[in-house]
Amino acid sequence: MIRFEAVEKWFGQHQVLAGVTGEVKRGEVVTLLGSSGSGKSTLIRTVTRLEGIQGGQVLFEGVDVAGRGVDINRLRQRVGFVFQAFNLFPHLSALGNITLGLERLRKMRKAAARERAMTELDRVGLADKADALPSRLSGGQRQRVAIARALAMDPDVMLFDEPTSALDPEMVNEVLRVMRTLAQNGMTMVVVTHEIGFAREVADTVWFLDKGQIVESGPPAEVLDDPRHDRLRSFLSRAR
Amino acid sequence: MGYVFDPAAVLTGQYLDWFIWGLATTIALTVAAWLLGMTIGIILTLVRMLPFRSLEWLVAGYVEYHRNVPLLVQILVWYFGVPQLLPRAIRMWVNSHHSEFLLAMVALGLASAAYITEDLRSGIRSIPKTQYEAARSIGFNYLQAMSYVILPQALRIVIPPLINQTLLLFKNTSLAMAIGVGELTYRTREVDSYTFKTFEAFAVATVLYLAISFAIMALGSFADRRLKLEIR
Repeated sequence: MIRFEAVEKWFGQHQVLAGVTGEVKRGEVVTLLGSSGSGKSTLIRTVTRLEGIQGGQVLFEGVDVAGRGVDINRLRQRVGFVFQAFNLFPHLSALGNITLGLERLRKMRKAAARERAMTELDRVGLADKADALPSRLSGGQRQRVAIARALAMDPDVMLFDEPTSALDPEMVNEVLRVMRTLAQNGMTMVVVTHEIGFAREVADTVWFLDKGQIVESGPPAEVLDDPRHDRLRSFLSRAR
Repeated sequence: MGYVFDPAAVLTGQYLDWFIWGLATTIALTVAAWLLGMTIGIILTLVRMLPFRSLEWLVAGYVEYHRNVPLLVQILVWYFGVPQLLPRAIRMWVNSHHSEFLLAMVALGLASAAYITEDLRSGIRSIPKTQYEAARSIGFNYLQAMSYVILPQALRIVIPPLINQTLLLFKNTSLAMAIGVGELTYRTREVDSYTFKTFEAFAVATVLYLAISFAIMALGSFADRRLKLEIR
């Protein structure tokens, strides 16, 4: 579904992605681990062209996302993106955050959009907060609304950029629970995270990035319990 | 012999009518120019944020002209200069349809737009870039992201400076008397020259101007309170 082929990117003189190659298959949950600055967030941002690349290719369903004739807005509707800082629209209620895309992009009627949004809010356990503005929600609730907002667009794949890193510890679990359910229902997911436990339990594949390269990849049991690289070994010992 | 202050003398008969018409014209001119200014101001703001240098310079030139040339000069240019450039048919039409009001509205509206776009731009800059990114990630294009996500937030932030611009615009409508628009100041001068009750006439005008100014301020702070509380 998503293929990275020798992807390279520089920020000025600094190379953040140094030839990343890998594939995310339909229905697969891939977790990206790595210390900060390893390029994992940048990598998933290249899928929807939030970051441009200087070398290689990013393919979504076989099509180069940077190719001519690619309608990037259409592509983005098919790829849900969840940010570390939630990025809810503060002037809209939880419901309004979700209906905006349904009404304006999917051209749904108000009532239908509302109904769909309520279904999504219910799915993340926040039906009772539909009319609350983001400022009235806790961090964990905000992130769950952000997930519902992305899911409402019926994406083929969901990308998560450190979805729990900005949360207080007691709120991490409510977000992970939603993500776990999503994975169990067969959603294709790419998750940048520091939650080793989540990776071990939910991921089909773990990629460990270091200095802009995937240095180790495989099933969590293999990568996490039997790390071959020193960098991964020290990363895991620090994370525990 | 002392001067007897007698406002009732200018608030009767045709003089009262003149004040009422003057006030109505002032309000109409303010509202029309405000709507024009807001519309052009928003368009200029969207245009200057497109990734084209030449457009950015064009808008910058527009802003500098309107901010640095006296408003009275701008009004006179519109009234005496621009109609001559128009095709005869349009000129005839304009001249027979209260051209002075129309052209004063255009001059005031365009000048306001220059200030409004500056306010809007600083408002937009204060919205975190991540909001734009989130909107684009849902699949909105540039214009949609701007109009559904960025501008609604920026507008709330710029309400106080916009109230300021509205007040300035309201007071500046008095300059339209220079091209014969029968607004409040023009009518006040008329009352004055018919009655020689100078203080009374201008006292009435002052009170009316103050009343409308306060109303604008009240309206503005109402909007500010209602909208701002909701966000952060």
